[in-house]
Amino acid sequence: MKKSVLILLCILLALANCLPAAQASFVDGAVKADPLADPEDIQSVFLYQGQLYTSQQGQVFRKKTDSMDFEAIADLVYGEGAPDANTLPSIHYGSFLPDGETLYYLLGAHLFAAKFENTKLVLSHLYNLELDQDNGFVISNLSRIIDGVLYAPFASEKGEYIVIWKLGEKQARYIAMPHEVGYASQIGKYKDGIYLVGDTAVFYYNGKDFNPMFTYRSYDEVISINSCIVYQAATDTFYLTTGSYLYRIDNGKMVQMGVLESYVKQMLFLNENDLFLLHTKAMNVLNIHNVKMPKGVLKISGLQDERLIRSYNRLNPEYPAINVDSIQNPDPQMRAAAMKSADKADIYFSEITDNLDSLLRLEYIAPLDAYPALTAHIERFYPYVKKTLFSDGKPYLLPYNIYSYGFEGQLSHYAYNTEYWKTLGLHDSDVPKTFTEFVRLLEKLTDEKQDVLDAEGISLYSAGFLQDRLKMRALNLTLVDAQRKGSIPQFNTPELLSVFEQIQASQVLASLNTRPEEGGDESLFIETHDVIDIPIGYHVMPLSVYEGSTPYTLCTETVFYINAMSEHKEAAVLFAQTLLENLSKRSKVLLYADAKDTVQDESKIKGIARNEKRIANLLSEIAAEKSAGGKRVSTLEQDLRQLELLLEYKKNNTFIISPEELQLLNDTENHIIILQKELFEWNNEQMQVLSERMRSNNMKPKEFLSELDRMVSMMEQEGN
Amino acid sequence: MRYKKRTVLMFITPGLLGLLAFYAVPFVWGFYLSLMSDAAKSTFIGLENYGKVMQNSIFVLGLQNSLLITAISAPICWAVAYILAVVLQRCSFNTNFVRSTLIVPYIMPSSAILLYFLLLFDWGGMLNQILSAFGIPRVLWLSGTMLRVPVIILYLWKNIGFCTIVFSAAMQSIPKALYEFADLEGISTIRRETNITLPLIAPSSFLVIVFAVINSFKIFREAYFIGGPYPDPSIYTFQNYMNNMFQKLNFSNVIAGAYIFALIVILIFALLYLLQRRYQHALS
Repeated sequence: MKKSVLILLCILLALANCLPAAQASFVDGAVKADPLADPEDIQSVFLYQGQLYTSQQGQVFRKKTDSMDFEAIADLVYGEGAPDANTLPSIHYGSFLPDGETLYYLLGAHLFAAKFENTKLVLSHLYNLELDQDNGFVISNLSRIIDGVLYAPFASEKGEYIVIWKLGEKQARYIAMPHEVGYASQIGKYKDGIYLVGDTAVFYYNGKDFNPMFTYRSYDEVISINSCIVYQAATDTFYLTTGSYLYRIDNGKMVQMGVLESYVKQMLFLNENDLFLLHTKAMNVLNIHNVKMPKGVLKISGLQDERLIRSYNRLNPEYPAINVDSIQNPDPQMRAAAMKSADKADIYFSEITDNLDSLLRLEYIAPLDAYPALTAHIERFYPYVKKTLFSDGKPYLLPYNIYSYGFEGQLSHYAYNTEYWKTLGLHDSDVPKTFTEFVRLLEKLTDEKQDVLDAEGISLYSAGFLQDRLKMRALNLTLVDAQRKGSIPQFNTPELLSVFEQIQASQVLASLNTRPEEGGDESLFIETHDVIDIPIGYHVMPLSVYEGSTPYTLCTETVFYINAMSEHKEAAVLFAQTLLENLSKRSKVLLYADAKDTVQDESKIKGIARNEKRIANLLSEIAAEKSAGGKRVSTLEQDLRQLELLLEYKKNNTFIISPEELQLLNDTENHIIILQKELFEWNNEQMQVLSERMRSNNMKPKEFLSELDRMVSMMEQEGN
Repeated sequence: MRYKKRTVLMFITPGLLGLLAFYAVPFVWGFYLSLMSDAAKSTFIGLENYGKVMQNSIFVLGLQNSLLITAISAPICWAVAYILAVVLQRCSFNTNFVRSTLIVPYIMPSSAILLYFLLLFDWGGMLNQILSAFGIPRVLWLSGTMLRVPVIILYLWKNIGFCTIVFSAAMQSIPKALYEFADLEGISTIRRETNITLPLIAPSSFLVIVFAVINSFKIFREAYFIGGPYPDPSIYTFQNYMNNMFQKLNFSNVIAGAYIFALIVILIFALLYLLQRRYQHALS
């Protein structure tokens, strides 16, 4: 009888141990944090007792079974025996290391056992690893505990090591990693040892030697190709992602299995069939037996926003698109070589100023006149956008974005604060119309209104090197004026010389960039990047070079085009069509003249929400730190101030393109010029030396302008 | 004999094939492309590209400058190198160290020495200071036509040493007895050089002038370091034009320009070769 009771008790105990630890005691809503659904918020996940978890800001989140959301389930707290918190890093900087039924937490050099207790995950201190911290450090997020043994990459001045420490033993072993391993980026269980992902190959460490098993990329690809590797013990197979492809290793060779929608940060097998993928901007679960190679793959080069690729991929699973690289090199030779190479992309994104006329001349860009689905969209673009898309009467390019353009990447769109305008007693008639008027007004305000400026806390100007910017913008406008008249630009004219001399002689000391996002105040004048995205309360102030000249707003345009040598033209056209259909909904800058609805910038809305959440987290962290008498309060409060300023800036910027802004674009239509190529190579070395000499007053304005005339004349004679 | 021919053929075939594949075929193919509207298109337009390039004033300026700089610098280089070689030949002391030093500028990268040259020729540079010390007005060496002076001096500094070594090597093969005999006869130095040295080193002299001309075409490198892609018109060379056109993928202009230049170079060397042949014939 006694024996059977004992057996029953043992069975009950065993069952209790097998149950997921205290799962039933997680109370919904006990932890207030919002669920995590955005992969950008999730750095890494861990698998524990068949469920996926992640942590953030001292809280643990678990993936819901019916969705990709991670809900908050517990707060990280120290249990008994924890060292003084002031000697430890912040509690959320550690890494979770599950080993069978046990969950460990590695924080700095301290190892804790983590155990769920209702809505808390209590960390009980186990060991101070006492690793040689002075001369190196453990890379905790890459460490693993496998069958009671800690494997931790250890970097020191002497080199890279693997620390192997059987939990509880007195001393750890330091194994120097061979040179060919390079930087160990991943460790996992493999047979009776571990596998170790090196720079270019995966190694098996059996306790004695490091044996290379397979190579997954070359040394040249280490920087450019992001890889993720996982081993499935049940089938004794390695799976890996390299770039946008999923591979499996078959006899030491990489066998392509399929295309993934974007780069993968982490992947984990949930069971024998399902692979969880944490992408840079998405999460999904993939059945490893259902992965197929699509009919073809559309390669996109230079697109920054992968959401568009995902939109297209949902519609076209048989012909998915991948972002092959982000070539931003404007060098026409490099681009021409890339477009005809074996590894060519089907669609390229680039700046319209990137010498595209040479690619058009070489017939490397496909004409779009045969695709009515695309040309129908072209009709809707603003006239100044539309005319940039054609060459010899045929459309070749498609717009993606426009923004204002300046010398050496500087901003050149000016606006004034209407509220401060009134405070300073200024009227509409005081709005400067020319650069010299602008400079004179700044001088006048500095001389006569300094007391008002000081009292009201108004800074005059929000960007540094005002004089240089004005001069360079004057040059650009002169250039465009000549371009529009079809004449060779003349810089050394009495008018421009006078503008240059007046700007140069002005004593206005523009403060350095103090945009609100960088912790500064609002100012009377600002420069903005986007054509339409002007902060609320500011009015655009078109400036002409001198009286009578046209106050153009110079813009550049991001365009995309189809490679004429592409073997997937139909799919490329479909991609372009998807993009154009989404453009009015997603684009930051509106390109369509006939759009009537307000347009929301989703990324900005998302950014604001993220910022608010970070502030809330930081506030709770500060409160906790204060109650614990921590030393980091002032540092955290500084971070908080920065975040609050950033939030204020983001909120004060328009993120909805309103009918008023549409009207603004329509009104300024005649002033907006999209530069299609750099007539003058402002950024070349010769030009930079020249402008530097002028800036440092080693060259007089007249000398500088005549030198420009000479160079432009030579370029013109060469046939540009 | 037949066996010998076959062996010779066997040995030269790889070389010939390489020459054919990497020089002859591209040369002919390039000429064909120069008759097309663009390197990527196949519309035959005849000599239109040549006409277009020849009418381009900046191409003509580049060509004129290249030829002018060659015409000035190559003969100076040849003459100074010859004189230096003669002086070295006549020196009673061991000149091995001097000869070794002469080759240093040739192997030194232009970029390394350029800053020094720019400082030397600057408005407040050493050269102008010397001029001022003698009461001569300063010269703006680094702008206008005077900019050719530092470029040519840089070229001479770089190439004279090498040419001197070539001359010296040739002079050393002349039997000393000839000079001793000339000395006994009381022949003047000029006659000795023109009647003994020059005829006996004629092939080497030709080689030196070829080197000097070829290297003068490479003066673009120095001009580019000084003035960038659009330097002062006085040092805008043919290669500036080619470089700028290549940057802009304007292949038709590049190809046509290259063939025009190749033709000019071939004519120059043909002329030099004929002169050398006639000179040697006259001697014999």
